[in-house]
Amino acid sequence: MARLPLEGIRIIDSTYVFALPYAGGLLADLGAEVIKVEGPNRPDVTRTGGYAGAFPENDLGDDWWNRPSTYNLIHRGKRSITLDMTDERGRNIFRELVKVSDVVMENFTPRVMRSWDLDYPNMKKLKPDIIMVSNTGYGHGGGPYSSYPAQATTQEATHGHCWITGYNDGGPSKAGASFVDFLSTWTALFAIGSALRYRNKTGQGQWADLGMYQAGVMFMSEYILDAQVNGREGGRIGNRHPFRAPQGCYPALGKDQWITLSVGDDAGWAGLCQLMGKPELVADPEYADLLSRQKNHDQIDEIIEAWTCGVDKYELMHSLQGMGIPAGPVLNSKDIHYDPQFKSRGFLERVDYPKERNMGSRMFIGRPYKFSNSPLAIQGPSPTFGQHNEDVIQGLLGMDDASFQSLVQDAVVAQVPLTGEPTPRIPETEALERGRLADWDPDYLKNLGLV
Amino acid sequence: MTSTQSSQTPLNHGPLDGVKVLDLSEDIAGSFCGRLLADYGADVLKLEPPTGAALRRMGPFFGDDPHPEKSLFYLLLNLNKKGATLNLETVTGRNILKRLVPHIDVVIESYRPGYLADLGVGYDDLVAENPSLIMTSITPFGQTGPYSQYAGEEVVNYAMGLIMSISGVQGKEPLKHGGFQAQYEGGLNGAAATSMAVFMQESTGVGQHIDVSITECVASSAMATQTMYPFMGGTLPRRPATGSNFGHPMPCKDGWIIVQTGGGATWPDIADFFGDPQLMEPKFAEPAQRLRNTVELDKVVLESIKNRGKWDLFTKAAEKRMLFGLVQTPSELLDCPQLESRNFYREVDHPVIGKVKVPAVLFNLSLTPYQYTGPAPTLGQHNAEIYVDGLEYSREDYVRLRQLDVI
Repeated sequence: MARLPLEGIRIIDSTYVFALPYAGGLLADLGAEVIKVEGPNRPDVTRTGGYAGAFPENDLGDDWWNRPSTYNLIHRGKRSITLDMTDERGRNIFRELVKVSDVVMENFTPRVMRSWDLDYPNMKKLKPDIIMVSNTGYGHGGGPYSSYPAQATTQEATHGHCWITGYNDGGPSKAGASFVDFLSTWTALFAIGSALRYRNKTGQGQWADLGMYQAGVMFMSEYILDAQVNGREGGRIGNRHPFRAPQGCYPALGKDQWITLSVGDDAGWAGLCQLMGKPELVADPEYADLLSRQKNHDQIDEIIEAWTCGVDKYELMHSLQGMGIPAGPVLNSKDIHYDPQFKSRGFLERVDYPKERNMGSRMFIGRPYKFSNSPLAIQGPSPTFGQHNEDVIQGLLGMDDASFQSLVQDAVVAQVPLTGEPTPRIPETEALERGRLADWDPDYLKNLGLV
Repeated sequence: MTSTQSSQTPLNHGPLDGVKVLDLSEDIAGSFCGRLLADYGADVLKLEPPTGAALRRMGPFFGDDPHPEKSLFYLLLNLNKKGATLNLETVTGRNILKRLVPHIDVVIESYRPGYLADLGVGYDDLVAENPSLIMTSITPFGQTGPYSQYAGEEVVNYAMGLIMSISGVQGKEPLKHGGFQAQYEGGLNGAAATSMAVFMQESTGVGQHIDVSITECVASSAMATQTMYPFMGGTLPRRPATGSNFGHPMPCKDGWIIVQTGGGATWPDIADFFGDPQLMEPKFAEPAQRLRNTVELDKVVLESIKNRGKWDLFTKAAEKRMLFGLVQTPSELLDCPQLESRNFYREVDHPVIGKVKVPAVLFNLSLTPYQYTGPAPTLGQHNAEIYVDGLEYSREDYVRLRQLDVI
């Protein structure tokens, strides 16, 4: 019978924000039992404030903290418990949980885990073969920045990424959202897979100490070598390629519609000229050889743009690809749900919520890999805040009823966050007017087949 | 562990110690996947065509000399591997691959889907030689679906992976991340997925064909964007061309910095950091007001930093527990004391290039830390070891194989 790689593995996910919580969701997809731990006074920031994302039908609902889109995407398939870690009883339950778990993930500052006697040396005393994963902005240790506050949004600059990202003629830029968080997400998966394998072989656990900064710099490696041996500092070339030409992002038919393409050989250039209805350019000395196309890139961009702006982005992709030219449209958050490739691969997975959650059904990003012999999938909806307090603390850890009730009484555990506010919702039409949304499809549930 | 470890380091006991990997990839993504497995202990053999992997022809090059042994990209993505040549477009080459497969655990490849199967050495063919084999295929769009045969490039992965739709400014074209981030992302996801499959392979004897889509890797990093649609029908915009400097790179005296609200800093802390009393006025001090007065806010903060240096601002921001970033250049990253403290770089002594300092350690491990075991292989460097010592070809046949363009 087909099984999942992490069946039988229990992971404590005592992490916040994006990077490791998202790893937790992906670990649940791989079959692990993932227990998210939050403080009653410290709900995850993906439940509150600006990181929450969207709410179902833009409605906060009664239990707003369980409803945000970001929370629901990254906490899919997990169990949820709440523990006040500033209370000795909360820490003791955490310790009991460590004793019956395989992996602990945390992203507190180095000082916090030490002060709770929950740094790796102490963790190891509780469970000798525990695998611990810590994720911080700059990594643990005695480095000058180790204690600096950090977040992906500002680290993009520090790890050099902004230096190489930006328009051809402009300054450094950010791109995407929280880029380096995801590098830590995937690094954590790699660390856990490797450490579990090692534990299987040797019986020994260990501590993986991740610094997001370090992962981000790794993705800059060739620039660092070029600077070191050739004295070249790299920089920004927009959407262009270091040696292929033309390459870029060009307007397609419609409002804010775009096509990207990349030509790197003579056949590609001939094909492009044919599609543009300009066969005379194939042999034009200005463009006929690879180096002249690099040199006259600006002129070529104008010619391409004049053609693409009147043609549908998908039509452009299919005709360009038909000529063997790498090309694809810029897909936005709506497009991706209807694109034939993403649909065919089932990249977005449907999650049906139980009726009492009042969340309906939603589509979520799955994962960028398929296993031929394991049916990887989102294992279920996100849990509500503290949904599994009793299951875990009483069921798994065997606490008696009276003790558990006193924890509830003293808010060491809770099923409603004691702090945190949702960001007020803005009506969709106003969000459009204020430029907070680029577009709005009021019929999205029907169009997605979710009603 | 020190940064001066040499190739004399006796044995690599990384967490993947003993895992045997064949890396057939010629590109960034597959090579990075193989390197990460090698970095953490796997025995990785790069098998490239006798003409050399495509990456050998990709810059930057040492001394701007486009020599096949001087590609810095090849050097860095093939660290810690052994290397041999094999021509899969010959029957003999394919037979040799099939002879190697029973001795290995993982094959990495990044050819166009179907290419290896058409040659008779696809996953189904190789699994016949080794039933618990893992094959990790990393391609622009994945092995299946209507675009699986389409050609990919970094910019295309970015466009279709959702990220470009929110990157850049309104009124201009969407912007990709610099460099080859998507390819690295494909490699990292390939390594992560492979490590999980190896764990399962060793516990259950079950192998996998792992199908990684680079476009889906990029799209996975757009998770805060994707859900806007199924939750409320929304599509997110790129940032406005004006009034959006806060939270983005802002020019100061000698470079660029980024400041975000949050972290341990309050607004008064941030106002004090910039040093302009106007920032304590309600139009800036109240979050909702601030969102409405972004153009004015930008003016105030840009003015207040224009004569200040980025490193001075960095220290000051840290004192105030602010979320702060300064745009570092590649040279600055090369000399970073924080990376030094993490033992991030290793000095590599390459037989053709000489000594270079290479970004090495993706993450730190307590018991089985990263180990540098050797530079990227020169073309066919370990052919004799693989074919004569390993597969026991006679020296005469070994020479014939070269002359017949098999190796």
